[in-house]
Amino acid sequence: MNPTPSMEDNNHPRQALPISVVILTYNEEHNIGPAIRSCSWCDDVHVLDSGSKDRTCEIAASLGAKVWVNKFQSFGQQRNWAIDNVPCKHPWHFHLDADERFTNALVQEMTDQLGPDGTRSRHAAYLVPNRMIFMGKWVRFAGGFPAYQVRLIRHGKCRFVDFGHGQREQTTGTIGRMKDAYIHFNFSKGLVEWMTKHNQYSNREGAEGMLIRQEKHPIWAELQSDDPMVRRRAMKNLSYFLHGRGLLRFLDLFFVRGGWRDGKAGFHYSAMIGMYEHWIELKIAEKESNWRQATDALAERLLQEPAQ
Amino acid sequence: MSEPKIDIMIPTLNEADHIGECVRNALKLGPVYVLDSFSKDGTQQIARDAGATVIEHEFVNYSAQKNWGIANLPFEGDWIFILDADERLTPSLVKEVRERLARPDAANGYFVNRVLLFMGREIRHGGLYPSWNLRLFRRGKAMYEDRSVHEHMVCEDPVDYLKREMLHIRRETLSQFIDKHVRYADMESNEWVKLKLGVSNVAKPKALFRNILGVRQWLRREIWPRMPVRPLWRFMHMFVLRLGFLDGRPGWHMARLMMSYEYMISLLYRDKLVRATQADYSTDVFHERRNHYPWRAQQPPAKPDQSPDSNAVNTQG
Repeated sequence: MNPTPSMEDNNHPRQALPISVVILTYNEEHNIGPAIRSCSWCDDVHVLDSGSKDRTCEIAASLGAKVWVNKFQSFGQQRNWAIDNVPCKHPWHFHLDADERFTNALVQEMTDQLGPDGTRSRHAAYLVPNRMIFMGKWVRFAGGFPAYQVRLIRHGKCRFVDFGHGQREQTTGTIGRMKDAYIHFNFSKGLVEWMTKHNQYSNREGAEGMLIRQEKHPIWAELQSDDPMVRRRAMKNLSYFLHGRGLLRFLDLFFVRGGWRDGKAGFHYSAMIGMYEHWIELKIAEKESNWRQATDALAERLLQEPAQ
Repeated sequence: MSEPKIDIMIPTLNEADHIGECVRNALKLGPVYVLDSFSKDGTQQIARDAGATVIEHEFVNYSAQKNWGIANLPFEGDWIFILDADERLTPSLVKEVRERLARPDAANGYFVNRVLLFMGREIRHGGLYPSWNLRLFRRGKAMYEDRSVHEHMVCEDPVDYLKREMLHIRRETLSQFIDKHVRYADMESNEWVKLKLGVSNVAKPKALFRNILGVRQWLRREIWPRMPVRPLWRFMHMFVLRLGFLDGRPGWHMARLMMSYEYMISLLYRDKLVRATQADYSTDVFHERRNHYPWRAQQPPAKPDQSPDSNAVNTQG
């Protein structure tokens, strides 16, 4: 695999693939152009917008994509809306995001797997890996490659349900796996946006952590459960009682998962996630020991001291 | 000698939580002018109700905003005190200011010290104390230099230092604190990129070397950004060298938060520099984005509007 992906060489197969591309957008004017251009192999590109206030729709239309608008409720709902209402020409749909790009290798692999008319494959959907790009580099180890997601689905055989921040697939058929990845620019909108967003996530996590700490879950019992979901949940609950959460997370990403092999970008990515975990721990401390009330009481006392 | 007349200017943006208390507190020293940047949380009304004159003016950056205020607000006294919404004047400070300014040998500008209140504790170590800022000056004798964040005043000699302190109340939630520091880091890293690309507008070192604060500024602006493992240094400096551990748990948390802040600056700086300078940055998305960073334009900085009856101004109160 080529470690530094390039979008410059556009020698995609000339013959059309049996795949329609659906791109969900909201205020993506900086990403949508390159995203659509990376679909040059596809003759049926649809953009499903959730009411962008910038030039997303205009740019998409000018590049030959068909633009649809539906109010956003959740990722699962929006993707299902696309499956039901967007008139895709081909039997297979690829759900690309605006900050993602196709690579030639992935297009080639899809061609081989699906065949010219899309009947070669027996699967209902495919898990596709993605390469997270950070500071111009692919962060393979710290970024948890391959981080599979179901993106390529056969029309009528697969739907989505909401799960966490995103969605999960729901299908009765089998799910295949692609070896080659698409490229994911998680940080295309800049790190300020990442930090602001993770500040909010850590509020939510912190509130949840505080509840867990108060509720006194039977964590030790849950850790020995047979259900892996319960065990994973219990591990997470346990983590709210740990000290040095940020440092532990950094060590996990950088050493255990091998973030050091990604070089500088791997270090910084691990440290950023560590910082985020540190915020969670601090927010729990803030709520549990009422920082604000204590500060206000002190200020009031100092302002009432007589002038000297 | 007659009683000195002091006007207080409070620049604000969405300070509803603080502004009422702050205005009532500042009125003990003189008439209060709130220079608001079109807050959306009702800051203006709260300030007016508390007895301040509210003037709204569009925000460009901190120094431009305050310079505009110094030049254009309808001040009547000879002295201006610039106060932030999260700062309070202690009774001792009010008394000292009155006494010092009434003397015939009063200076042109005064540095005021402030103490941070955080997690219910006065933070007196970790390099956060003392914190001297030139906040009180004779009208027409001082201006802010052109820098978008952590700006400093340039004041005509002589300047002096006040003994008593004001309080700096860290009342915001951690979430607001982090948001604010993300914004600061964004602006600070812009300054660093400008420095690196040679398009910076900050004051020349010559003007800054007049006093020890000038040397510190030079270290902070020219040397500090070039230090390796800076966030760790910041932590060691605050917590160990400057005895931050004497402030107990608040000192520990403060040091770690400041380490995060330094780290955010580094991250943003690296990221922006890569985007601004690296031509073949993997995909054309970055080429398009580059136009969104201010230093690409390289236009001369906008001068603050000097005319008092500009259309952008909305005088009320």
